[in-house]
Amino acid sequence: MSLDRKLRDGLDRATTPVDPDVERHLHQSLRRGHRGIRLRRAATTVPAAVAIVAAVAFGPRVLDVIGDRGTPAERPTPSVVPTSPLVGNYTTTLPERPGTIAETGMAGRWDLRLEPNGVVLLSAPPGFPGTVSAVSYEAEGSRFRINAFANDLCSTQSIGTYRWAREGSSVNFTPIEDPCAVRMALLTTRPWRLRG
Amino acid sequence: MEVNLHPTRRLYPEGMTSEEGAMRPGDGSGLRNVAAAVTAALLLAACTADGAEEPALPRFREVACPADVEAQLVQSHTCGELTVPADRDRPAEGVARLFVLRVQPPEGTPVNDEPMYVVGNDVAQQGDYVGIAPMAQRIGREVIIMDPRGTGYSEPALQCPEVEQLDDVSVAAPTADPDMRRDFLDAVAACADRLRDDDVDPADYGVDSMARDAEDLRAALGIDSWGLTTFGTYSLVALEIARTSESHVSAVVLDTPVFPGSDPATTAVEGTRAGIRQVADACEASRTCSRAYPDLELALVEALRSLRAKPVSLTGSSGRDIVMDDVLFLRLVRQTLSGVDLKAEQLPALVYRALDGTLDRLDPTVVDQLGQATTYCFGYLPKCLAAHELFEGVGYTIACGDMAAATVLDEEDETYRDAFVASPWTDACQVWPVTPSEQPPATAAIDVPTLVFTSRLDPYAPAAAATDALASFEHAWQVDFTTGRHNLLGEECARTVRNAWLADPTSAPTATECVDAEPLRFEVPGNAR
Repeated sequence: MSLDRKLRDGLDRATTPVDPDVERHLHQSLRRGHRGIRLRRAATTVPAAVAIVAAVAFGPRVLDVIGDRGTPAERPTPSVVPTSPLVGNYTTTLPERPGTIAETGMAGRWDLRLEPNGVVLLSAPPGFPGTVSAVSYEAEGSRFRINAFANDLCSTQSIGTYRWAREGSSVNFTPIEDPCAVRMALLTTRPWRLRG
Repeated sequence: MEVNLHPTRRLYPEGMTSEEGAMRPGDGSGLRNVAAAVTAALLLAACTADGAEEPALPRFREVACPADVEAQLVQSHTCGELTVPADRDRPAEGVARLFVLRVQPPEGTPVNDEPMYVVGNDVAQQGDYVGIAPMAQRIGREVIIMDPRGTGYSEPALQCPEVEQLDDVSVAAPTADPDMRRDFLDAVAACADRLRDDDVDPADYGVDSMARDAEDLRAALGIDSWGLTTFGTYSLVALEIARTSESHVSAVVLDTPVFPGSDPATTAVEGTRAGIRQVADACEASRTCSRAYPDLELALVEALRSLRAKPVSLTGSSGRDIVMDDVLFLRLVRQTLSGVDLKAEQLPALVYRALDGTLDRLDPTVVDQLGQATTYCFGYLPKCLAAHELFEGVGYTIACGDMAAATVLDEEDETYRDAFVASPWTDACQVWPVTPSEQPPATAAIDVPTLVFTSRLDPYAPAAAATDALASFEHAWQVDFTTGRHNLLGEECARTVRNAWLADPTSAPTATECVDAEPLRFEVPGNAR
């Protein structure tokens, strides 16, 4: 938890129990004010006024200092380490087939390189119109998440989640959830054969 | 994180003042009443801090990520919002809320604690979060992206729907058509008027403000030093940050940049000519290309002359009418050279189609590029399709306020003159309410290790201009590709060079063997190479 959060949570906790008391005191003050003794009023009014002026004048700045300045935001936690058994170079050839593959010009040889840092290098057959750069993956156990084509062909859909399994020198991807038909066709039409 | 203090407001109904309440002590303990008054006053202060009088600026807070970011990023990430004065000289008069995305490298990869700050891609264009995020994995550093003010998820957004309404008709008339140009100017002026009615001053959305936003973000995040990178013409902002906050910048990586002091017209004229020459030389060196297209430069001259005399009407697949005159064709040539959505390899075929009078048989994907582009964007900005969301107002502010006046006013070629010197963007500056900078910041003062990627084909960020500008840099290296596109870091070779260099930015880049490994592969009849 960041210092900022802690301070603000602390302020929240501090103000919550105070609220009813202040309200009651104010009402009491209103009801009883006329019965007060002038000297006592002066004795309490002056410091109260000073406190109010000071609080109103400097309060926001104090809160700024507490809340917004000089309190670096926390860094997010790092991504999950990609599962090392998946790291490697793979290839598959998509057959001419009616539907998504034909409509998107996907037929042909595809190469997939899964790097240890979560970067995916994807190469498509000539004529494929989609963007194959800037692809990332994350693997945890047998779950595999990938955002291929997130820049164009799958841009309105969320990341694909698959289960992967090795079978000999190939890897099969089974969809858990992927709203993007192009990505699903790429990953699941044929097994991906490990190269080298 | 900001705490919501609004619930305390119920303590102070309308009309109740401190005099009526805490200033009138009852018969209880004076100390208790003072305590109550102080408490009340602090709460009042808290109210004002969250309400009428906001906490001092700048301030940063984490926010939920937009749905598209959340849905498309695999990497661990968080989002935030930096609130800054819209005008730092008048901090009480409005704010700009700037969207921030922080992407973490994966655990277990070598990590450098110093983040890399992504200043932006190309001026006025939507940031590409999915495209940029993998940098965190590649360089093992946190990558911080902030949508430059006026763009992306930052608010206010300086889009001009008034101009976008002309998208369908702007290519249906010649670029120089006076009626169309008047409609365009009216739309630009209407956009400026609307923004000012909304208390948004377009002059606040220039390079200087963006550089100061970045510095405010760095301070708010408690970062002592970071690296800077850009992927296009936002280099203007990166260089301004490096100039004004040099001690907090450890390295700068500029991908196909422009430099302070450049002007859009000269960049367009010289960059386009240099790119054409480069393609012509490459075609001449290719047996198949030179056989199919024996004199590209001469063919282009003839084609432009022909289209000027007799424009050709085309129809895009979306049904949009296109009048291809010499000026639009030159804009198309410029775009083709850039390699953004088109390929330089297509240029010889494109030029010879125009020469042969067979533009109606042009590759439909090329025609569609024109048919989908936003008003007067194609040939003036690198990315013009709907997917590259455009924030026109920021473009006008930087083009009219931060870039130098044209120095090619005596351009003799009438097509070049009409396309780039007397361009619609030049016109827009007549009505866009910003004052031109009299003295663009000098680059001479920059003494930060800088790596610059250029392509001799790129007409938006000419390599020769970069070479000239870098002469005044103390520690700069230019990696110059003879082929390659605008935004070279979109390709693996430049990324490899960058990644290696960032490990030791005070030394010359290594790992440059891949540069120019790929020659241009021209499209020639019969698909011969």
